Amino acid sequence: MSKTIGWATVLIIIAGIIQSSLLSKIAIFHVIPDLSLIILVYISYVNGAMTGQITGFASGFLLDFLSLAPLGFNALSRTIIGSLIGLMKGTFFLDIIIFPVLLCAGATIVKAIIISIIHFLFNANTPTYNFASNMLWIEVALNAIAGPFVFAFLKLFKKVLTPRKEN
Amino acid sequence: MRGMALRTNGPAPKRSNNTLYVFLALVTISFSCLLFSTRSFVIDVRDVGFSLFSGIRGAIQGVSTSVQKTILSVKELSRLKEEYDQLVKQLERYEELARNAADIEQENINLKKQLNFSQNLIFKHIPAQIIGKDPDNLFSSFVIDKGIKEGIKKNMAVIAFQDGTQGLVGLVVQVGRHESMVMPVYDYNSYVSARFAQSLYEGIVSGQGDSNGPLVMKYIKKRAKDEIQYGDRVVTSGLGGIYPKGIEIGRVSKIIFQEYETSLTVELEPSIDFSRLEYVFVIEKGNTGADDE
Repeated sequence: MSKTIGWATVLIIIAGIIQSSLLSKIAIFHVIPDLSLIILVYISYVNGAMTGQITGFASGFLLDFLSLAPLGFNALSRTIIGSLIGLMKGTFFLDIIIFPVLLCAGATIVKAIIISIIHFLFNANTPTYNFASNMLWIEVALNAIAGPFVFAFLKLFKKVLTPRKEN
Repeated sequence: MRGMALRTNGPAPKRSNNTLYVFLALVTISFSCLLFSTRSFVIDVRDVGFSLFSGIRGAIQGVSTSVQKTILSVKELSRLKEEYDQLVKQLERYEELARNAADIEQENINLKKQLNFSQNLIFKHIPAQIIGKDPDNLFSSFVIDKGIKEGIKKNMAVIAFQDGTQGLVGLVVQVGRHESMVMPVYDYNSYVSARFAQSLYEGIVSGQGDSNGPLVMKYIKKRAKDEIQYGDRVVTSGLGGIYPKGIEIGRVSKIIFQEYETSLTVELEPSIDFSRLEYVFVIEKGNTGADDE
């Protein structure tokens, strides 16, 4: 499990750096897909809640260093997302297109809800998504479109990202 | 038999409990971190973390630029080959040359403008290039290619020159060895002490998180209402000692007057078009000409 978490965290950080340096140049309406979230969704769904939440925590913590986000912001939201997606492990057959699209779109909406709760709990000291604005829905669409491609790419690393003993 | 049945059913709830305990522990840790960081207790830890990633982003930018240049070179070669085949059409060739000359002339004009601005700046400054943006759509920071090694320090003001105007860009909030993170004026957490260039009424300019949206200037005395016009320039006041005095922030685009409020609010159109921003100047501390409060 620790190997899986380690590799997944490395992949998520690389995705975060790519989001920061390359994807920002091709942003659509100033919005970029959250590749690191998509990777976390895949790892959590394939490995279960324990791996998902630890990967979410470790990668979220490191992502906080790359961003203007307060320390713990991504760690908290991604721990919860990793855990929730992990609880769904094995519920549905992971096909090539439809389920990755639904998982990634759903995870983005869950992220927005968690961030709204954090915004409320911290007295509006952190930013939040506006559910009526285009930004959130463009990100949902971008993540849904990118989901099947990222999942297909991650399946190439099945040996290191999927341990034999699963929780 | 009963004992065996108990043993085989035993481990499942324990593992489930472990997952729950770990989940609660991780949530508590990250929640505590968020609590402390929003109160600014862990700034040093953030700097160490930021420094760890410093350079990686620059390297990726370098590789991407190099790949981009290679692709462009290949395209350029292919285009040149086609032109070579059509050399008989001299007129087209001359047109192409003329077009290239116009491009170079335009680039030359742009660079001269930047150089002229750099030479005319009264503050000591460090020129820098934007190499990355915040990986999270909710945050608006961007990363420049200069850090501690080049003399950048936290809380240095960042300005830019665009279309003949010197405009305020933001503030350095985190510094790595060769990279720094800048919080733009339109960020939620940005607050700039400002004043109207003509009437000299003061206020606080804050952002709304959207680079295309207006900035908001609050806490302006109500009696300023009759002296403020649409299009009036708003500049930094220099109070607080962070931002240099007299840097343009924006122009008045909307005046909001509410009888029941104790102060006036105006919306500003930023002087800088952040979508076109490529080069910035970081103002060295102690040379800002700012007044300390």
